[in-house]
Amino acid sequence: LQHYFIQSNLRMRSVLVALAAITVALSLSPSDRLRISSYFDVSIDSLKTAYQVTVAKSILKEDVPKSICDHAENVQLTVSDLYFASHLSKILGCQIKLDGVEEFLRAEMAAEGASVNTMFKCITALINLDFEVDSSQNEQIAQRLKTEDTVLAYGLAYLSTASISEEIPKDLVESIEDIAHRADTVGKAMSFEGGLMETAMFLKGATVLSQKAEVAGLSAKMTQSFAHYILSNKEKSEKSDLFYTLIGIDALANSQHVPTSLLVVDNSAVISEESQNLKLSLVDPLGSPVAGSSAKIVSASRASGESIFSSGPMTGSDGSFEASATGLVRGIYKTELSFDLPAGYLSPDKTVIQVKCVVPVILKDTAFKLIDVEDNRVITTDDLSNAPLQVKVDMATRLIFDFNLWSNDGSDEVTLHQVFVRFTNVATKQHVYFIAQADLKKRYSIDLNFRTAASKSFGSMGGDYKVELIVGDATLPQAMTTDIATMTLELPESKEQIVDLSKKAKPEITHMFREPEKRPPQSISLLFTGLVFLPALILFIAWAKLGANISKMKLSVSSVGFHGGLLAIILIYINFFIGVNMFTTVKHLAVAAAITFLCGQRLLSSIAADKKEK
Amino acid sequence: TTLLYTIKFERMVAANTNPTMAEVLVKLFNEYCAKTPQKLKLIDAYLGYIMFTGIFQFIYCCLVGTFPFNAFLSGFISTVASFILGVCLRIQTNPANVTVFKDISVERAFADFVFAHCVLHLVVLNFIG
Repeated sequence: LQHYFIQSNLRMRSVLVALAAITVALSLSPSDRLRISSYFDVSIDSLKTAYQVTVAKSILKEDVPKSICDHAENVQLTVSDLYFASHLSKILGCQIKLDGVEEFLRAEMAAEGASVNTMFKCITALINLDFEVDSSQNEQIAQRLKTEDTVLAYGLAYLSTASISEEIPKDLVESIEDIAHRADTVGKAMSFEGGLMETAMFLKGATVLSQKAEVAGLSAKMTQSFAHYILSNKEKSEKSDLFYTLIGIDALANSQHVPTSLLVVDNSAVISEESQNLKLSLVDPLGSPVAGSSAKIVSASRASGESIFSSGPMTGSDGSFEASATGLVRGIYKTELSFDLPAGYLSPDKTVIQVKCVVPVILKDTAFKLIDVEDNRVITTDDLSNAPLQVKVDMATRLIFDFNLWSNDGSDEVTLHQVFVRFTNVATKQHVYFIAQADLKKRYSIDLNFRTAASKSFGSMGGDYKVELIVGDATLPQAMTTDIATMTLELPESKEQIVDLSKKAKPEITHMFREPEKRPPQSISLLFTGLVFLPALILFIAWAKLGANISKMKLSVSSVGFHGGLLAIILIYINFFIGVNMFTTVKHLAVAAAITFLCGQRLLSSIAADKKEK
Repeated sequence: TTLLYTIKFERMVAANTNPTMAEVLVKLFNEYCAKTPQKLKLIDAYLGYIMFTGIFQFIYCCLVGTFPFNAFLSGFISTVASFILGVCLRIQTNPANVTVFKDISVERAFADFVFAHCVLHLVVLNFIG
């Protein structure tokens, strides 16, 4: 069961990481903070919940109502309760109205066989309550670590040592990297077998100890990998999971190598006439901007070479940066950035962002023509200044609609991604789409001959149709829909079936299992079973009448062996029929056959010998 | 019953006509009863039993259809093969054929018969499904 749990844990973490690889920014966005904070807005039912809410809100730098202190009144004289209550006291200044706390904690701490967990809780509680703890406690912790060689124990040991010593032993700091190697790496993320709690507490211990010793215990790469794992848990919905995620994030934000992340603010990566500035934010894992940082645009160009931002430093500092677009030319621009960070901060993973510039288009030089195919004369021609038109078409009509898409940013005629003409049947609401093709001069055209199109595309459904032009593209601020005409399609009464073009569910297919074969009635089967045994009965009677001499059979070893062997073979066959497989049968048969053969041979040769004598 | 038939035959002989089919059969039967050794008669009784078992199985199959076909086949072929083995045994142990089967004693023929049956029944039981 343990093994399965560890397996499924690793699988779970792999899945998490796989999901995270798609989206994880190594920081909490403002919406993430709101969401996580809301999980800690619950009503508090226990001391443990009070502790979690207080610590979580303090990490998020939010206020906690002082009424939480009421929970400190129910504190019992146990290590856990005192540990929780001491945090309330430290963060909120709640008073613990209990006697003998110091003596109890010191006794528990110094007890023979106290676990690292107990010692950690006692030390933390004592320090939080402003009591002194002697640094000689370190020896006891180090002793205990030798037997309790788990990652969590080391993490708690680091926290304990950091809070009571001024001089941090060098080998303890060096052990951070050794223990970190026990973690599993899945993709970009690194985590311990014990999961989120173990990883978060280890990280916290390692970073606090490193901070105290002023030496980086974890390398930059390891910190980044742990960060990937911790932040992949920010979408969880369990309060305890989010609690430890926050602990991990807090540790990362205070580590010797702080991972940073680039966020785009206010959806400003879409440049348009109304919004011409790109706004970026360089943040730490908690989402706070990195003070003392600066950014520079290395290049911001699209495939054909034009740039949207000029290369050079971005305006702004301390984590918030801005750049102004140099022009409005539609397109998607790959913007590469570089950052100047203060010491102790890691460069963000992602330094390239996609900026798109959107510019609307207008219809120009439109020509709408209806041609009678039979005599090739033009019925209607219009430039859509009176749109929407009212037209009638029948099977002998050809519709030609030409137009240009004009972009005001200087690129003049453009070809865009999705240019459709849509016919909507007013009565049945069915849509028929035709894609407009652009020629080399970028002029779009739709050419519909209703002789074929009426049945092929319109399903021979006549009636009123609304004709619209739909234009869509990534570089348009929004899709453009233009009403062109209302068309009445006159079709003769067709003999063929009118195809229903609406999308309805097809009839359900029920799987037909093979019908079992018909069996004869049981009475007939039983009759014939009896009938088949009848000749056997008659045989025995005939044999008796004919005088088969059973009495002349000798009783000797070989006789018994032979007949017994034959009987055994028959029984083996019956056993085989009942359900034993061929392998077992052949095995048994080999033994029985050998006996039968030997005895049979002896018996028959003795009979032959007897006959010869006679 | 043997007595009854002998009486009937004598009456027919007394009639002094050309033998009819019935007379031929009766004579055949009487010759058989008289001249055939007892051991062969035992085998013949056995062969008759096998034959009727096979016939009844076949009638059943005709009545109710061939499902499951493998069961019918194995049962029917079992009777057919047993019949053949019985005929083999009869031929080999017939004293009239001693010159043909010089090297095969009666005991050897019987041993072959038993062995062949063991193999036959193993196969039949496997096929019967």
